[in-house]
Amino acid sequence: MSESSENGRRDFLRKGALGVTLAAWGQLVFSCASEGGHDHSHAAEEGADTIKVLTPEGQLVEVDRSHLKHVHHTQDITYEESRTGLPGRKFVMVIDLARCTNARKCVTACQKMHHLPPDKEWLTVKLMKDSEDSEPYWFPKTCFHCDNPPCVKVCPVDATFKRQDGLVLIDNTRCIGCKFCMTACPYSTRVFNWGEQGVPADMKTHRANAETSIPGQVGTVEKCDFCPDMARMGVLPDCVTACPNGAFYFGDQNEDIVTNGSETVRFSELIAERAGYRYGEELGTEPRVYYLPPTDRIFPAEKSLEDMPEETRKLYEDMF
Amino acid sequence: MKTVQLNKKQTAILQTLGPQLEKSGALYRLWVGFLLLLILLGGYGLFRQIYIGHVVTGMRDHAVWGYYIANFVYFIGVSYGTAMLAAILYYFKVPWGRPIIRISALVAFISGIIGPVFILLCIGRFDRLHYLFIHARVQSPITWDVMVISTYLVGITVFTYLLLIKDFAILRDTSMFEFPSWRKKLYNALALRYKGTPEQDEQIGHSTKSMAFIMVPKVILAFAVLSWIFGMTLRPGWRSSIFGPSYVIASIATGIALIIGVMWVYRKLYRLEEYLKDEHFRYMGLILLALVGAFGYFTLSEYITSWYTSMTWESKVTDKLLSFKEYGWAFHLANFFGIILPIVVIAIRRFRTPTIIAALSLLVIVAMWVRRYLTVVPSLETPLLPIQDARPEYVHYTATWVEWALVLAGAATFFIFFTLVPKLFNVIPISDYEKETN
Amino acid sequence: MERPKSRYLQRSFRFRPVMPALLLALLLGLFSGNALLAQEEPEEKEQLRTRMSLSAVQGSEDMITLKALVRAKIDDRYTGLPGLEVGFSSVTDSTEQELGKATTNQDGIASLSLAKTKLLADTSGAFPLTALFEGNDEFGDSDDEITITPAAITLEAMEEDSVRTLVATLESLGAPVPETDLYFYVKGMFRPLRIGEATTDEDGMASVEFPTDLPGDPGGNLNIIVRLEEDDAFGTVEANMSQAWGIPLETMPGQTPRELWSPSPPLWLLLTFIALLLIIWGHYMEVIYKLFKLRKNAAES
Repeated sequence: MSESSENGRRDFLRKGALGVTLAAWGQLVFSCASEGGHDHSHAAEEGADTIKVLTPEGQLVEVDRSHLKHVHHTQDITYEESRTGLPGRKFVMVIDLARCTNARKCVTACQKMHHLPPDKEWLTVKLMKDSEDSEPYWFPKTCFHCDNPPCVKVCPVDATFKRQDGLVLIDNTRCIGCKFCMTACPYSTRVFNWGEQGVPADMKTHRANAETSIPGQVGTVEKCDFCPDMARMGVLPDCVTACPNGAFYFGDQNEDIVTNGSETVRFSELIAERAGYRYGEELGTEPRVYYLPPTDRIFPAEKSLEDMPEETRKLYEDMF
Repeated sequence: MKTVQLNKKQTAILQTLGPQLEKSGALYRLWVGFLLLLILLGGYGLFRQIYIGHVVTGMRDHAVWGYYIANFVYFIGVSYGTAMLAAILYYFKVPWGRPIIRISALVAFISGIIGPVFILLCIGRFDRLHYLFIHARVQSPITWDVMVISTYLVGITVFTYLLLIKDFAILRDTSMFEFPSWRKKLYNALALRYKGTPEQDEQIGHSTKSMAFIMVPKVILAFAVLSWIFGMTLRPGWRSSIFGPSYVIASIATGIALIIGVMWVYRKLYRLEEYLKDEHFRYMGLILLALVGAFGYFTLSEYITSWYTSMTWESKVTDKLLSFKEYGWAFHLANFFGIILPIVVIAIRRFRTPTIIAALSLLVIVAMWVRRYLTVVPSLETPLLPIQDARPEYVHYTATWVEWALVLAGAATFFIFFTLVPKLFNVIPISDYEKETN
Repeated sequence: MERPKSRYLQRSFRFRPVMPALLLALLLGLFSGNALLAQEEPEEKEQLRTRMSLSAVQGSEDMITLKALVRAKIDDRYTGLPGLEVGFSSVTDSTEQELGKATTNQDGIASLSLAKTKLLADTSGAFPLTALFEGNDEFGDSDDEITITPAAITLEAMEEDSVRTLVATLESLGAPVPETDLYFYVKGMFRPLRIGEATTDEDGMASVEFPTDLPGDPGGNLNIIVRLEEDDAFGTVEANMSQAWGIPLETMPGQTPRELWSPSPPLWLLLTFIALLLIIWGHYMEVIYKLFKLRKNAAES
C-alpha cells in the first residue's frame, strides 16, 4: 500500500471529521468517486484490456488495464493450505458504528475485489433502529466468522468449514447448493448464485481454491470471506482500506492488534474502552466481529440518504 | 405342478377386479395422456432450471426454499404416516384393516418416491449429488436425512413387495384372463415361486411381520430427522420442540386423508362396496378426527405461546401468520377447513358417510399442504436483521411457473401411479381372503 | 491513564504538497466532473500526466532504500501506477551516478536498496538523489529529487526490576542528533502498533517503557521497530530488533476438535449413527435373504 498517500488522505479525512463543512465535502467527494468506481467494474465485466479514464484536463484516455490497481492477485497455495488457514492467526474485526455514514465504499470495494455483479453484496449496510424512540444508525454487516458457526454445523458435504485462523470459508468446488447453511445462518450473511454470473476474462484461468471463491460458480453458496488471500500477503481486506471514515478495524487477535489502515490499536483496549459487543450474543454463535456502539456519531443516519435514489430512500422511510 | 388354489370368495374378487386388469377405455387413455402432459411440462421446467439455474424459480437469498421444500416435506411426511399406518394395521392384525393395508402401503411407496425428488430440486448442483455420500458429514441433519430416507425407501419397497407376493402368484396361476406373455413372465418373476405351502406362508408372514415391527421406530426416527432439518436452525417458527410431533401428527392425518381419497375413488370406479365398506370410511374418518384434533391442539399450543410471550423475532413470524395483510387468510382458512370443519362434521354420527368423509379428506389434503407452505416460507421471509432490499422478489417469495409445473407434475405422478396400479394387480388383496368361505 | 483519550488525534496532521493539489482536484471533479464526462471522446490518444514522489528509508547495516511512488489522477483519485520503470541516480554539481532501475509494484512504488557506502555525497556529506520516470505512450514523464543526510539508529532493550525500557540512539555523520521525535512500534501482521514516542536528548538518546502485556509468538518473541519518520534531512530512519518480551502464545492444537462444526463428528454421534444404520440394514439383509431362500426352497420341493 502506498502508505504516505493513504495516510495523507486519511489525515485529511480525520481533520474533516472535526469540522462539519469539511466533513460534508468528504461525503460529496466519495459519492462522486463511486461513479468512477462503477465505470471500472463495468469495464472489468467486459473483460477489456484497456480502460477509459478521465484526465484532470477533462480528456478521456485509454489505459492498459494492467496499469491499474485492484487486479486480484493471489499466491498459489495448496488445497490443504486453503483449508487449514494461516498458522497461529485468529482474525478478528471491529466495526465502529459511530463512524459509519453509509458511504458504501466498503460495499463497492468488496464487489470489485470479488468480481461481484452490482446487485450482489457480500457486505451489506443495514439501517438499524433498536427501539421505537432510539435513533437509527448504519450497521455494516460482514460475515461474522462465528466460533460456533451454525452454518458449518449443518453442511452435509464439508463445503463450508472453519479454519484454524478463525475464518469460515466456502469451497465452491465442493458446495452442492442445498442452501441449508443459508437457512441456518441467523445473520442472512450467505448469498446464492441463482444464475450464471459473468466471469471476468482475467479470472477465467484463476485456479479455484477454497480461499478465494473465484470464479463464482452457479448453484453454489458464497459469502464474505475476510479476503484471506490478501491477508496471506499482509494486505488488509478491501472493505477496511476503502472506508473513508476508518470504521473497519481488522487484525489478528493473537497479536491483539487491529488496524483500520491508518490507526493501529490494541484490540482488547479498543473493545474495553468503547464497550465493544458482538451482535446477537444470545444466539450462542460467538461471532468474530465486534461492534463499537454508535455513540457520538459523526453524522445523523439520515444524512447519507440525501444523495440516494428515491427507491433506496423508500426502503428506510418508516425508520425515521 | 402345484398352483395357488382360490376359494369362491377369492374367485369373486378376481372377477370383480378382472376387467380393469385387461381393458382400458378411451377416457382412461385421455386421463393418462393428460397426466403425462403435466409430467412432461414439469420435465421441461426442470430442464430450464438445470440449464439456466435456480434463477428461474421464485426462490431468492432470503426465501431460499419454497414450493419444492413444502412439497418434499408434504409427500415424505405422507409416506411416513401411511407406512406407519400400514405397519400398525398389519402387525396388530386389525380385523377391518386388511383391505386398507395395501392401499396404505402403496400411498407410502409412491409418496416416498415423489417426496425426495422435490428435495433434489432444491439442490443447486446435481452434478455433485454423490458428494452427499463421499464427503458426508455426520453432523449435518441433511446427512441423517439422506441415510434415513434411502434406508426407509428400501424398507417400504420391501414391505410393499412382501404384501404383494401372494397376489402375484394368484395372477400367475389364474386361468381367468388372457394376459400377454410379458405380463405372465413378470408375474412369474415377481411371485418368487410361491406355491402356497404352509412353510412359505409362514416365511412370508414372519418377514412381513418383522418388517412391520421395525417400520414403526424407523418411521418415528425418520420423522424426527426430517423435522430437525428445520428444528436445528436458529429460525423462529422452526426451532420449536413441538415442531416434530406436530409434523408427525399432521403428516399421518394427511396420509389418512389421502388413503380415504384413494379408497373412495377406487370404490366408486370399480364397485368395491363389498370390500371397502362404509365402516372402513367410518373408522378412517374417526382416526382422521382424532389426528386433526391433536394437530389443532399442537397448532394452538405452538402459536399461542409465541403470541402470548411475544418475543420479538418469534412474534414477527407469528404476526405474519395471524395478520390478514400477510398470511392471515391462508393460515386461518387452512385451519378452518383442515382442522375445525373436519372435527365438527365427523363428530356428528350421521355425517359419517363415505362421500362426506372423502370430501372432508380432500379439504384436509389441501389445507395441510398450505400449512406446510406456511411453515417454510414466512419463517424464511423473516430474518433477524431487516431485509431492506429494493428488489421485491428478494423480499417476498412468489412461485414461478417452473415451480408450479413441477409441483403439478408431482401430483400427476401420484395420480398416474394410482391409475396404473389397478392395471398391474388387484387393489384388494385377494390372498387375504384365503381362509374365508361363503 | 497512560493512553491518550482518543487515538484519532494522536497522530499529528502533516502538511504535504499533495494535499492542496488533491483538494483542488476533488473540487474540480465535484463541480465539473459530470459535465466533462458527457463530452465527446477525443479521437487522438492523450498522455496521462504522472506525479512522482521520492522518499528514502535508512535502515540498519548501512543500507538505504529508495522508494519512488508514481501516480496519476484516475477517476478523480490519485492512483499508484504499477509496471512502470523508474531510474534512480545521484547527481551532484560535478558528477552524475546511475544507481539502478526498478519497476513499480501494484501500489505504484518502485524501490531500490543500496549500501550507503556506494553513494556519492556532496560537500556537506548528504546524498543528492533523483528518480525519473521517462514516460511512455500512455503516461507522461515525471521526476523528483531529495537530499538525504546519512543517519542511523541503534536500539537497545534493557530490563531492570521488571521494568522494560527501549533505548534508541540517533546519530548522523558521527554526531548525536538531539531534539528529534522517535516512534517505537511492535510489528503487527498488517500494520505496526505504536507503543510510544520520545524526543532525543543532547546525546541523541530517547527511551520508552515497554508494556508487559503484549502477546508474542509461541516463543514470546516480538519484533520491535524504532523510527524517525519522514524527516526533511534524513528521510525515514529505522532500526529493529527481536526481543522475547511478549507473553508466549499458547500453541494451537494441531487437530480440530470433535465438534458439531468441525470436520470430525463427536464420537457418540458417529457411533449412534453407525449403530442405527447397521441395525436397520442388518434387518433388511435378513428379510431379503429369506426371500431368496423362499425361492430356493420352492425349487427344491
